[in-house]
Amino acid sequence: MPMDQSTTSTNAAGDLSNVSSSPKFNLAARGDGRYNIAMRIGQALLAIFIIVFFGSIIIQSIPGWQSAGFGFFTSTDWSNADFKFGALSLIAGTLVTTFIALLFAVPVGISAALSIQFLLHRRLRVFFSSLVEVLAIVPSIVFGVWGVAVISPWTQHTLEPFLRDISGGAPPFQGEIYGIGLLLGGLVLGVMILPTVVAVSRDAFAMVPQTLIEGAYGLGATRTQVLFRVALPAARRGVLGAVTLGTGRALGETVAMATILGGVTNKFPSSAFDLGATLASTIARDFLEATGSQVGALGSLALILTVIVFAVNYIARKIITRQAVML
Amino acid sequence: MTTMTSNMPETDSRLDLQQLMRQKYRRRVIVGNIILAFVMAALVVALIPLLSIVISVIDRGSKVLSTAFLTQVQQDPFAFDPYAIGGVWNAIVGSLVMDGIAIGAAIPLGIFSGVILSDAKGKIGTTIHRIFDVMIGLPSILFGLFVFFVLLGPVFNNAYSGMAGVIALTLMSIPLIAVATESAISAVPPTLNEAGLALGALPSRVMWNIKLPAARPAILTGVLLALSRAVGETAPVLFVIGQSREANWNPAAEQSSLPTLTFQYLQGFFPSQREAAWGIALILMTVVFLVNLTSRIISARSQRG
Repeated sequence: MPMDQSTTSTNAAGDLSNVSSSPKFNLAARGDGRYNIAMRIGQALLAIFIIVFFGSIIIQSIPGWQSAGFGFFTSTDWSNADFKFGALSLIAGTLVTTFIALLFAVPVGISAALSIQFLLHRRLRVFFSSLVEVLAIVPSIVFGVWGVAVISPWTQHTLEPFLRDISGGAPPFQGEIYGIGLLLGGLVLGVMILPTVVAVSRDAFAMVPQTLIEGAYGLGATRTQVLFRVALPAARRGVLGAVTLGTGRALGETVAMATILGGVTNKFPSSAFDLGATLASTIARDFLEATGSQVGALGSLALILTVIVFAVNYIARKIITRQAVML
Repeated sequence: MTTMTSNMPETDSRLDLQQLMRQKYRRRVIVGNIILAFVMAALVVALIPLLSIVISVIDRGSKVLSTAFLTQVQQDPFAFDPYAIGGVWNAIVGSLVMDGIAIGAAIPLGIFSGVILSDAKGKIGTTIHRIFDVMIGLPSILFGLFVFFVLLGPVFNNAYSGMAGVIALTLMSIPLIAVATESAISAVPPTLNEAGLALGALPSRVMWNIKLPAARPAILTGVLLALSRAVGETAPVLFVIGQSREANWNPAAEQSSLPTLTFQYLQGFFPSQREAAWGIALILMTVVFLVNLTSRIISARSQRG
């Protein structure tokens, strides 16, 4: 570009060089340049933000690793009073509650998405899907209030005695019944991730080509067969993404779990009725009063949580590349 | 099919076969309908918790809600007066101040980030984009920890401050608004972009005058989503805003917010505190529901227009 300018100005008369530096031309070059520079700077700022954010999470976890060592992952004893910090019970609590949540949310969520997309009238479709999505905007603390006051009496007096009687007290349905605890936490978590599972998998069902469905009907398939042998396999990628995304939400859920699980941090779960704690709930409950090496240990929990949730969400984003998923 | 069978009465074996097939088909339909009933039941099961939450929040929250509850500041019940709960005015003020500033800051920053993401090319650009996508799903408590560890010391002299909470909420909202903006921009028909460029407009002008206006409804939906998220979030502000029992409009002082007060009340000792939690839950639900309704109206209007 500068070479061009110099050649024109040397070769041609004054008026031509005037053209090359005319306001219009310059505005063009300069305007675009500024935009590009702003974009570059902005991109650099975003990169810095990301590096500082994740860097700080890594750095503030170092004291925890230094004081606990590898025992952090192998010890089930997390005791604030004795300054003993083993995260295994918390990791187990996180996985168990997420597993229970998926046991509820995956079948219910996918079936609900199937029925909204294929069994309801077009107008009801919008109504019901937005109704389910309302669950997504309920603040997580409200789930905590609801879980403790409304659902825990039900789990205590109905669900958990029923499960214990029907299984004869065999694991994992054994031991003391408190009402609150891992089972309640998992169920509430399942309700919380339900809108994610429903919305994303319904989106996947909506993308199944109409010709495929009509073709199946044409070959004499029943509605059930169309749903389960055609639509579900065709949309399996999106459904898998929905479940992965829901898993990520469940692993990171904080405040509701901090109020529902009972905050028992030093017992490796042996029963679904046990009190427990998750990585995130422990941070939420203990961080404000934390002293000394406990701060570092909670920082290490935060890093574990970040790594797990980041990995799961990253996989989910790899699976669902098509649209932005905000739920 | 019936005409076929009447035309060929002599082939008894075929008749049997057809009857058999019809029976089989009927059985398939019946079994299928039973399965479909279960599938429909799942939708009902999915809606029961929503109904239960809405009904119980309205029912138990309305018993607590009163003018005094909304206009008085928080009191701590004690053994001789376990029902002295006061109100939640301090938390309402704190939430208004912090959410207002946070969303006000997050709108320009988030939209600008979204424009950057939509412009991002190359390995670094796509990596940033992917990480922003992932950050939407990160537990919000991490933003609170980030502000606590990185900013509370150097910026706020280790003092709790509403502004620290504002920063945490802003940082949490930026990825949400950015990704909403980016996807809205990328959904603008490419013909509009090309038409603008062909008319001689610069990419910056096309972005400002064509793409962003076309993407406005979707961006607004993202902003409102971020707002309803920010209003209800406890975890990001829990560690950094302290605890204000006075209603103060100064964001730089210690603050209180509706969700954090609920969290405290849930861990409180007195039953009156747990009842008050229902009252706050009703306020929160009303606010997020209204915000959600607004965003639905906006997106419905934009789809019609």
